[in-house]
Amino acid sequence: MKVGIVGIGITEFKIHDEPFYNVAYRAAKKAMEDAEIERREIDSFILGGYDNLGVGRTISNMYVAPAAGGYLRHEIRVAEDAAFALPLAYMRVKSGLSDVAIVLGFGHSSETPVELVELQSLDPLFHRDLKLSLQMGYAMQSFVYRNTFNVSEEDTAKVVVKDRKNAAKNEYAFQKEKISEEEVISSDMAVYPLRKPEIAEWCDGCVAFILAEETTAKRINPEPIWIEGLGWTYDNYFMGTRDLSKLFATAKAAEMAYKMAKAKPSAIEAAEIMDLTSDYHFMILEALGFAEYGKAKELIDSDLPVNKSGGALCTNAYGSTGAFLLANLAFQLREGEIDKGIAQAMTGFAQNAAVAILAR
Amino acid sequence: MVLKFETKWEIPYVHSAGEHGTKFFEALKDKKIMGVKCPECGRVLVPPRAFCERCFVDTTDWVEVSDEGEVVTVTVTYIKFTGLPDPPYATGIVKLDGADTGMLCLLGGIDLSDWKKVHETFKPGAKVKAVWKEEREGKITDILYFEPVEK
Repeated sequence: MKVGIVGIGITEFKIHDEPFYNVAYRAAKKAMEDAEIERREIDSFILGGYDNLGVGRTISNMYVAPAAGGYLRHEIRVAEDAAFALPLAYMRVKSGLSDVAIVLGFGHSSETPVELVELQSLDPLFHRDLKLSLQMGYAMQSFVYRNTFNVSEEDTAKVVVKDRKNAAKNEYAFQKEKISEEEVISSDMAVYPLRKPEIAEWCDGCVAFILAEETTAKRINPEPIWIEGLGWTYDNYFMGTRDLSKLFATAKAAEMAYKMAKAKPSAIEAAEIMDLTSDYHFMILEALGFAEYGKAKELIDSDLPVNKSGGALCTNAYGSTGAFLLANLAFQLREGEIDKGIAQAMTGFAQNAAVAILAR
Repeated sequence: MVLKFETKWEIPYVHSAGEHGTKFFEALKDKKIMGVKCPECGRVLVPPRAFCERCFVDTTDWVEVSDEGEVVTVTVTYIKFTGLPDPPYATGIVKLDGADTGMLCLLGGIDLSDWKKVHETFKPGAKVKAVWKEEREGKITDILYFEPVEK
């Protein structure tokens, strides 16, 4: 029995004036309209996105469960980016415990400085007093990656140019302003070695997916998007214990997803990846098996469509970025542009990763 | 236009350092950096932790490591982050002599305004040593920062 995505709802990604649960409701409503089903036909409500400090309210389930249509029904929430909630929805359906499930992910960055929130995620004994912002953690990986594999500013600038070019054509993307390689290289050094356009900016936005088991899926939607592979894992929280030149969590999650899908990287026709920095773009492609370590810069002009959405570099909502990428991959499958694709998400200091392989 | 409401949280915590943390922080007062050795893989873990996550066994053997080591990575911020110090300041990972893992730390002792100079000075493998606080109180900040061994 296969599990398919039969409905997708996505809001604009921008700085929203509405509270996160109202934006989330819009995404859920759109997904149900897309699938042409009512909320009573859904029997699993899976929630994703960051709660607590980010939106200034603990237990975000209280707010998001009604927005998902889960009033007086059962709901469950998965930590991390909403892309990490997809496996749980899949398992509910695959196990037969559920016929139709919704995954609702909210991403909201505009209510508080995210660096303050992330500072509280650092260990208060060993790490917090060392004043590490999330972007500084990313930059420490960039420094190692560039030094280990001799990757230049010119190489990484190309990523920004490419993502921005794609985002300009994506109605849901946040940062759509085109930029040239020269402009990237001459822009201000923000968090060495990363210049300002090489780091994703924060925004808000929500995404919802409706999942169904094979027979029901085909009844709801003649052309479901099938979930063929899923993988997720985490690496060491102590950054000093990791080899920072590689993304082991993404590599492990990909290995798990490829195994489940019985697929190899060569079968993948498009990728949507959470490139929170320009260097991560290359590092993720390497971890997903598209290039040897240190060689992903050679893929920049290849035929493999990577981040047709514009990637995380252009759209990054704290908690739903991965779900945004998944939705954008699903759109490419729906349009018939590809038959099989991969989406990747990662959180924290890139130590957690989730990977999904979708097909039509 | 929608209305906006400003709110704030102030929640005090008392965090226990545990036995491993206590030994590590107490040693800092004497300008000593302690690690633990995993009895199975033999790695010396700094900062110390109660168990090795790879071998999933207790770490019971204590080892003193040097307060000198080499740079694994560095970053300098030139933008201001809310609630964090004014830029520029440098954070990095240093692998101390005698340790098998790197330790997150601040780096300094040089002019940080020029990132090209930072890159030259703190390139991976560069030798650095701890600069200790005069009045130590048993906190990670007892090490003010790591500076180049040869200035």
